[in-house]
Order: sequence, then structure tokens, then C-alpha cells
Amino acid sequence: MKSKFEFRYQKIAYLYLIIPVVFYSVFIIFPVGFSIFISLRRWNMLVPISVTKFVGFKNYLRVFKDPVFLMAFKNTAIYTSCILLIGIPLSIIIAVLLSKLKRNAFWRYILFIPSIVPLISIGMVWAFLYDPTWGPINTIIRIFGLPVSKWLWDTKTAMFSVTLVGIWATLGINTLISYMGVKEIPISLYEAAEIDGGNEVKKFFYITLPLLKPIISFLMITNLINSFQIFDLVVGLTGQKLAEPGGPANSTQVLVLYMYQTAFKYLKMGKASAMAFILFLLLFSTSIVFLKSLKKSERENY
Amino acid sequence: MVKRLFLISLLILGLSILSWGSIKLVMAVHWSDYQVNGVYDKNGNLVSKGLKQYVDEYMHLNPDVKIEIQSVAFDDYLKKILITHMSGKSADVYLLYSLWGVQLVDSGILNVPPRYISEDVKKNYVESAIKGTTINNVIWGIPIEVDNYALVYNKKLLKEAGYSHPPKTWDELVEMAPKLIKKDNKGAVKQYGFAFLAGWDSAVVHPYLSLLYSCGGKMLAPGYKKCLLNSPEAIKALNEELRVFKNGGTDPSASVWNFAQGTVAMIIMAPWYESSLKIAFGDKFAETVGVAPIPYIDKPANVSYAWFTGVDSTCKHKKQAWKFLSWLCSEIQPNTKTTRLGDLMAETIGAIPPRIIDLKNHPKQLEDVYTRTFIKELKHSIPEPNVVQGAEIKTTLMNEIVKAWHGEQTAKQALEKATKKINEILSEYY
Repeated sequence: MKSKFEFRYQKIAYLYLIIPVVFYSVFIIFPVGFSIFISLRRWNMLVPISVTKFVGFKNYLRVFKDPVFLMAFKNTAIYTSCILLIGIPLSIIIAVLLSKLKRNAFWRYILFIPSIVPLISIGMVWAFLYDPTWGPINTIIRIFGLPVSKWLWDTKTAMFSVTLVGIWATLGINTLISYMGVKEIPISLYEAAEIDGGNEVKKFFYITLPLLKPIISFLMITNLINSFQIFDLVVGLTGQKLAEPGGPANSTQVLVLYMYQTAFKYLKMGKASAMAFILFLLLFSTSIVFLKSLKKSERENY
Repeated sequence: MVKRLFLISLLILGLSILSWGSIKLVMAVHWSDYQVNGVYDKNGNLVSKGLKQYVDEYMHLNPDVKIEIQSVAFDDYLKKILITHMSGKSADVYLLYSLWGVQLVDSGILNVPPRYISEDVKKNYVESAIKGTTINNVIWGIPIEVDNYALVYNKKLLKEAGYSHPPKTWDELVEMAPKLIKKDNKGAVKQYGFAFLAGWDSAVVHPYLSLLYSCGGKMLAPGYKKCLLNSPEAIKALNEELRVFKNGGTDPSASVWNFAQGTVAMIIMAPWYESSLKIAFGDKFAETVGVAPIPYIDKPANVSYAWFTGVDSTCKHKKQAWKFLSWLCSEIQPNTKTTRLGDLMAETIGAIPPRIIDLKNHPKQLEDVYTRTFIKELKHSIPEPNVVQGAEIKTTLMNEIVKAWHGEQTAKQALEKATKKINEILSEYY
């Protein structure tokens, strides 16, 4: 039987729990629940929700049949894959190279600059750099007599141009995190490898990479979530007067941008909520897979 | 202390009683700073009145009415209407793009104007503006602006290429455009013959609709139950656009905004671009910029869109709101024989006022080299259809047209895809 003290202690503990429970209910459980509720109705935000029509899973069916959504999904997946498979390995290589330099503060600073600039501004600057007629990139290419590209202005190269900027913009912060991981690896391991005749390549593959696993998993999860939610970079790059956001012709359309346009341009809140819930499920399940692999790699380290 | 509290309470009570007697109206607009606050010279003297000066004048004449102007950028304007409506803090008076009107009407957001307003609109406005303000055979407000398109060309660049006149027909434009192209020694285009307007749905769709109407085609069947963009006329109109790309007169990276830099010879543009061009060309505006009707395919045709003022159905002072709008938009000033809104549109905003008397009595502003062609073209202008999901329909069409511009598909493929998608959208509502 519980003593009076234990009972009072439990009550106080429950009291303390009220704040996080209220916080999670208001900012997480309610919005998710509300978006599921809306995703089953046809609502244009102009009429009260009470008079909206229940449409069942029609919005979900429409989303999966919508070629623009499928295009946005494909573009987002390509963008995310490039960040994960090109951007992160590149940042690890640069971090290792930086760790070899004695005075690397300047280079770390240079690499970090893009991370403190808002993505929308980065997009606007790169849209100018990419201008096919007046942009500095094509001007430099022309100096060398090489064939120029239309970059964002060509449906075939537009998504590639966006991905290139995405990799550049995330390189700095990924490199810094990787650099901290590399610095944590004990030098004695490298010294032992040198005694055994291990060269730089072997040291990288047999010491650096295995010990960086937790860092790599962390980078994978955060970059996966950020890349899947890419919005501002695409708006900055393609939302100028020269093209429409997500254009030309949806060639740079991404999930969150299309969700936003569906809700606030086409006034289809039900369909946009269905998209949001699909994205939530996708990110939630992928993150769990990554988190499990992170835990596994942590166990292996110990 | 008690005495002081009593005096403060008395003051608050007095102010509350005073405020009970006044009527407050909130007017939401999408206009920029100078359009709201007026244009001032270097010494701070008012050169041209903005909306605020007219509102101040009305409040002076009607001391019981307080009007607050809430100005939001065009890109955020529809979102503001939605969000304020959801939060129960709607504006009382709106400026509305005719295409938004359908959904606002269907959702019961707009108040039906009193009979004296709708009768006045029917009698005194240009037809394209009346049609733009009419949804389900009901007039929902007072037209304030009507826009259409024209060919804007650089006289100097045309003259350099040996042309003394702009193209009258689309065939002439297709033939002239490649001859106006200039390239540097590395093959980079330094001057385009023609540039299509692009960047948002109306930019791509409106000029295409002008060509479609010129071919005798229609976008939608009566009743809006069916899309007609797979018709031979529609395919012909897009093929005519593609001819300019195929013969090298333009490419998708050609931008109309480079016209102001003198590196594009011809564009199809709306009247609101005049002030930007005047700033860009300065003293050389008149000798450089020429305006002509859109070169036609089979017959002269144009597309138009309208803006109108409306009153929110939840407005507590509907009668006063309509009275204010009538004073601003319809009442004729005895000295100028124009309306206040007509003055604001013609003198400050640089747009075409749709009231017939305003078109007649602003000769200085509306009969200048730039604007007069647009006004003459109103007789050929067909309003874009006021259809539910207009923005989605136009964006769908835009994306297919742009893919065709990029050579990803033929005109027929583009328009068949657009027709299929638009029919799916229409089937949800009609």
C-alpha cells in the first residue's frame, strides 16, 4: 500500500507533466489530428468546417493519381538522395582533409558561411548567377569557349541546378559536424595503423568511417528530414519573375511547395492535408528506420 | 486616489460612448505604398493622390465613419482574405480579382450590392468589366480596373532591322522575330526578336487565349462542364506560338523584363507595365517604345481580366460600405466629370479605369502613346471565363504550354493533356 508521502509525490509528478502534455497536445497531437480530419473533407477555407462535405479517402486517391504530386515526389526524392549520397560523403571527405590542415579556422569559416544565410536568399542570389544570358556562370563558361546551359530555364536541367545549390548550401554545416566527429577519433588509432603499415586510404575506410557511423547516421536523419521539406530554396531560385515557383512546367516542383500551392493557391485544404499526412507518415517511418540503425551502430561502437 | 480612478473611468466611458456612435470600415487592398499614400515630389508636395487622400476626404465629409486601409502585397492578398475570414476578422471592403470572385461567391463571402449599384454598373461600364464582375448572372461589385494586352515593341530595334511598322498579323511577327535576333561572336544571344510573357499562370495563358480567340476557339464550353482546348482552333493557336520558337525568333530563356534594357525587340504586355518602361527609358520613352494591337492569326482578338470592389457578407455596416464605394467609384465629380477612382487609376496607379466616362475624360493619361492602344483594343477583348478553380485550371494549362515551348511535347499532346486534367477539375464542381 502506498504511503501518504508517495501518493502526494505522485500527484506532484503528474502536475509537472501537465505542461509537456498540454504543449504536445496543442502543437503536435491537435495539428496532426486536425490535418487527418481535414484530409477526409472538401474544404476551401472560406466556409466553416462544420458545413464541409465528408469525402472519405477521395483526397488521398486524388493525391496518388495527381501527376504533379508524383512529379513533386520524384523531384524531392532525387534531391534528397543527392544530398544524402553526394552531399554527405563530400562533407566527410572535406572534413577529413580539413583535419589534416594545421590552421584550418579560415576554411571552416568560409565553408560555414552558406549555413548562416537563409535559403531563400541563397536561392535568389543563385538565380542571378544561373541567368542564361547575363549570369556570371555562363559568362565564365563562354570565356573558355564551352557550350553554355540554360540552367533553371530549361526543364531538363532545372532540377539538377536546384540540387547543385542544395548540396552547396548544406555542405558547410555537414562538414563542420563531420569535422567535430573526425576530431573525436583518438590519434592513437591512426598511429597504431601507421605502425601496421596502413596508408591514408586504409585509415579512412577502416578507422575514420566506422568510427564516424553515429555522426553519419545523425547527418542522414537531419538531412533526410530537411531535404524532404525543401521549400524556400526552390521558391528563391524559381520564384523570380523569370519563372514560376516550382517551374518551368513543374520541373522543380517539390512536395512542400506543391502542398502550399494546393492549399493557398487552389484553395484545396483537404487535398493539401492528405499530402501533409502522407509526407508525415513517410518521414516518420524513414526516421524510425534510421534511428534503429543509429542505435545499432552505437551498440557496435561500445 | 478614488477620485482619480473615478475620473479615469468617466473618461473611458465617455470615449466608449463616442465610439459607439462611429462606424468603422476596414478596406483591404493589394496596392503598393505610392498607390495607397500618393506620389510626392522631392519637396514633399503631393503630386498625385493615393487612396488614403480619398479616404481622408470621405471621413472628413462623413465624420461618423472611420475607414482603415489594410494593404498587403498581391502575392499574399488572397491568403489574407482567407485567413482573416477564418479568424473572424474579415475586412469589410475588398478589391477582388474577378477570377477569385467565383469561389468567394459560392462560399457566401460576398454581399449582393444594392440595386442602385448594380443598375449603375450595367449602364456605365465597359462590357468586359461588367462581364468580369458578373458571376451566375449577378453583379457582385463595382468594377475598378480592366486590363488587356498589346504588342509592345522597340521602335529603334525594329528600324535598325529595316522595319518601319510593327507586325499586324502573326505571320508577320513570326517572320520578323528571327531577323531581330543579335548574337555575339561566341553565339550567345544578345538581343531577342520576341519574348513571351512568363512567370505566373495569367502571364502564359492570357496571351495564348488572345491567339485562341483570334482563331475563333474557346477555352471552355458554355456552363463550364467541358474544356475545349483539344479543338483544332486551340491546337492551331499553340502551334502558332511554337512557330516563333522553331524559327529561332525566341527561346524559353528570353524574358520580357529585358525589354526595358533594350535587348528584346517585341513583347506582348499588359497596360500596367507603362510606368516601369517610363522609368527605364526616361526621356527616350516616346521615341523608343511603340504599342500596337496583338498581331492576329485569323481575326483581331484580345483577352481581358477585371478587378472589382466588393463588400464582405459579414460586414456590420453594409449600407455604409456600399455608400462609401459608390462615392469613391461611381460618383461623378462636377469639375472634372470623372470619378475619384477613375482619377486614382489613371493618374496614380497607371491602370485603365473601366467606367466609360473615365475613359473619355482622362485624355492626358489614357490617350498617350502607350495606353490608347489598350483602350482601343477593349472592343476586341473577351473576358477570361469566371470559372471555379480558375487558378488551378490556368496553372495546369500554363505548365503544358511551357513544356511545349521547351520542345518536350507537341501542341496537340500539350493541349490534350491539359484538356484531360482540366476536365477532371471541372467534374468536381460542375
